[in-house]
Amino acid sequence: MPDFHMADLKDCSQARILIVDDDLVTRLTLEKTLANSGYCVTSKSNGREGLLFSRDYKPELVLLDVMMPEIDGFEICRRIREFSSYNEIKIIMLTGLNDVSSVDMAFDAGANDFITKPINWTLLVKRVAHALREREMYFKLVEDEAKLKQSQKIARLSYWEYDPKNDSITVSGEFCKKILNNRTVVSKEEFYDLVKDEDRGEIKSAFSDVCLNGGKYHRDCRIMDCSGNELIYQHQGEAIEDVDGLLINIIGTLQDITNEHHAAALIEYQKYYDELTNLPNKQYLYEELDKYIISIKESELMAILFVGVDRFKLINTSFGYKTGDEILKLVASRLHNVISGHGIVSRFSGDTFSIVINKIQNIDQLEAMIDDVLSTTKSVFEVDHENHYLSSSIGVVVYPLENASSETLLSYAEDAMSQAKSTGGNHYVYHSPEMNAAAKKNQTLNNLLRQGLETDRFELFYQPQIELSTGKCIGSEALIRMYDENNNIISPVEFIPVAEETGLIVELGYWIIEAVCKQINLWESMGMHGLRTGINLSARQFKDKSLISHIDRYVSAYEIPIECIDLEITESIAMDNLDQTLSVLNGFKDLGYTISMDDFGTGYSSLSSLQKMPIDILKIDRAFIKDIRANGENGEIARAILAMGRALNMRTIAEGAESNEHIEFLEANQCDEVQGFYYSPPLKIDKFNEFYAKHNSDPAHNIKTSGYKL
Amino acid sequence: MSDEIIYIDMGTVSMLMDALEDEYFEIIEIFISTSRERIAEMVSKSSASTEDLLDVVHVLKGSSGNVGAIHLSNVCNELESMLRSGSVDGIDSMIQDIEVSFDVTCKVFQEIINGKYNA
Repeated sequence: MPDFHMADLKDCSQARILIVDDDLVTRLTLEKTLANSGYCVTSKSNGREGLLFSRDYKPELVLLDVMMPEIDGFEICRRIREFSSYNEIKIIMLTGLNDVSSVDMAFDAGANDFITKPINWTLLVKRVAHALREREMYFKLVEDEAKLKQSQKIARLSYWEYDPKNDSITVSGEFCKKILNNRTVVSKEEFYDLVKDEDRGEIKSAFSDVCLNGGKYHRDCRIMDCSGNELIYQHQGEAIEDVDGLLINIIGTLQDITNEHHAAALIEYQKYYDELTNLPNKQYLYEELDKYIISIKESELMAILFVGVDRFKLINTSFGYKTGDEILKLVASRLHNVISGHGIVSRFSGDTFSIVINKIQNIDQLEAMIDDVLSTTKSVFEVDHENHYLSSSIGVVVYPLENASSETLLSYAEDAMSQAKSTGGNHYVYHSPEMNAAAKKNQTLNNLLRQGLETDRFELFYQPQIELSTGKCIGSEALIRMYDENNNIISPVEFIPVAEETGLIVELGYWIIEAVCKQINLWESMGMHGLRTGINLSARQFKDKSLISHIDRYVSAYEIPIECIDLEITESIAMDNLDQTLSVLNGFKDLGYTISMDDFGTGYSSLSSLQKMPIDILKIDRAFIKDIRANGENGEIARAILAMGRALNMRTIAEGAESNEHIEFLEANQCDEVQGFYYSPPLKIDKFNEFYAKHNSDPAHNIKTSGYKL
Repeated sequence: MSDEIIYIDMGTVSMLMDALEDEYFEIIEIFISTSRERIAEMVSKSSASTEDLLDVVHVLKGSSGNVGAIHLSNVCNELESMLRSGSVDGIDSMIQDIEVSFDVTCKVFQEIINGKYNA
């Protein structure tokens, strides 16, 4: 059994050597020689003890004499090999020089090396050292390999090698288990087929390129595993070539980067989206805004809104952050719904959101959307059965009215929002003073329009229409005017678009119709019989199905001749929906109303469509009259329209006639009537009545000298 | 015995002296005493079984060779070969040769120990 040497062996950091020899002298010599070389040495005088020691203490090296009583060296060697590998216990056998066959027997029995007797001691020490170094290197290699395997496993890394001779690919590592159902060799085609259809082409071409031209490639691709899950692999390959540049093989790696990829996707998401509201974040907004700025069309506007919830801190301090967060989520989703499809809503920070609205046609459209944003934040927020009432302040920047970088535009909008907050909240403020002035004006107009209908802020002016052949005033066009608080006249060019936008135009339209009917009734009673009066119909009115019944009601109420009502529609309204136009106009015509086509020549009506419409009067747009110079120069279009009117049996009225040349031209080309400053601007009712009296009571009145001069 | 006969391989001796220093002399003393016993055993077993004699002569061949006593080792080797070939004639004479060689070897080792051969 193990003897006194064991204590030494356990503590020994050096290699442990066992000597088994029955000759005391040889044994001692070996023992001392090797001990002096720094090894931990144990010796046994017989095979049985040597075997037991080897089994129990696994020395790194055994020096084994061949010829021994009881069990010989070969037998001991064989038995050691039963429990220890070739590399675990190195065995060197001591054989006689004249005994060549025993060398073969030693190797057959599992020895690593042999030393012949008589022993060359210098050589012995070197042989022992060599065997031990070999053993150490082997274990280092085993350890390195294990470490490598482990790190490959951790890195989910597998290797592959393409052999061009048989066109096959050998794969090692976990890829075999996960993807190949434990196969290790696949054909090139099979290898390609593992890759998802969408990625296959790229891998294939990268691989072929490396086959032909050498070099390396690096691609990410999706591969299905044995259980049908999609994994993402980083696929790398590199050509190995001989000295002549001929392909030997291609070696590469496959690394499962699915987790990293998902993490990267999450990081990417977090880079551009807000976790709480799932809205895009500031970063996303900046980048998109830059794209919008580049791609915006000349006729379009883009608005940047900075929306801040008013006094939001109060919610957090009174109800806690959880409630605050819930409300922010609701605000986010409401803003998203309001803007939906018109731009981007993003959470800028805390309780501020920024909105980019693109493809805006006009400011009215923008302001309608801003109003929607204001009112959506005013609606009650219910969180945990508790109602919360909020409002918001909005800062607005309109691009390219204000032209700056995306960052500057946002900071402008933020400044404007702060201003909105500091002036009480629940409203919007433009960054630009001009825009604010315009918005304020719009707001004032809107208020004036609303009040105007109740407080006599409107007045109708009448512009005379003179028949050229008689010089008499046979008609007029009613034109609306509005007064501000200081009784200054506001042009319809300013307030009509606001009325159109707000829908007040319909009410205003009825007011005009009633006022005209009342006036015709008065004229009739004053003896000004049959005076035809033009009323402009807006697009919105024209589409209003109750328009006919409304007009009819006034016409009957004021008992006026129906043909005195001259309904004027513009060419562009008429052409917008021809079928509808025909049906509405025919309805009016059947009842006996006069119908005029206003601003004729500026739209795109075809001769055939014009022929179908029941038009009584063509009003030639002022643009064609304005061009006419002395001797009728530049009057071709006016001349053509006049000829066409005659051909279609329509009366013609020239608008905008201002000079003698105009009148001469119009007379020469048989224009029926003229409306323009040459005779008169639009007049208040008293002045109009005076004008009428002057022109219609004196049959000899010379029209050419009575012209109104500018 | 001529001076040309080499009893001790001085190369082996110097290798061992380098490796073992003073311990070398202990080993030589052990070699001399164990070999003396083995030779006595051989003399007593010369008429006994070849097997027993073979074991002893093999070990003596080995240990003498390993410590550098090449003449003694060679004579032992001759006897071992003879015994393995089954020949029995001249065993006693061979044993006498071994005894003589051993005596001379002892003297040479003694001189080495006494420092005569020390460099």
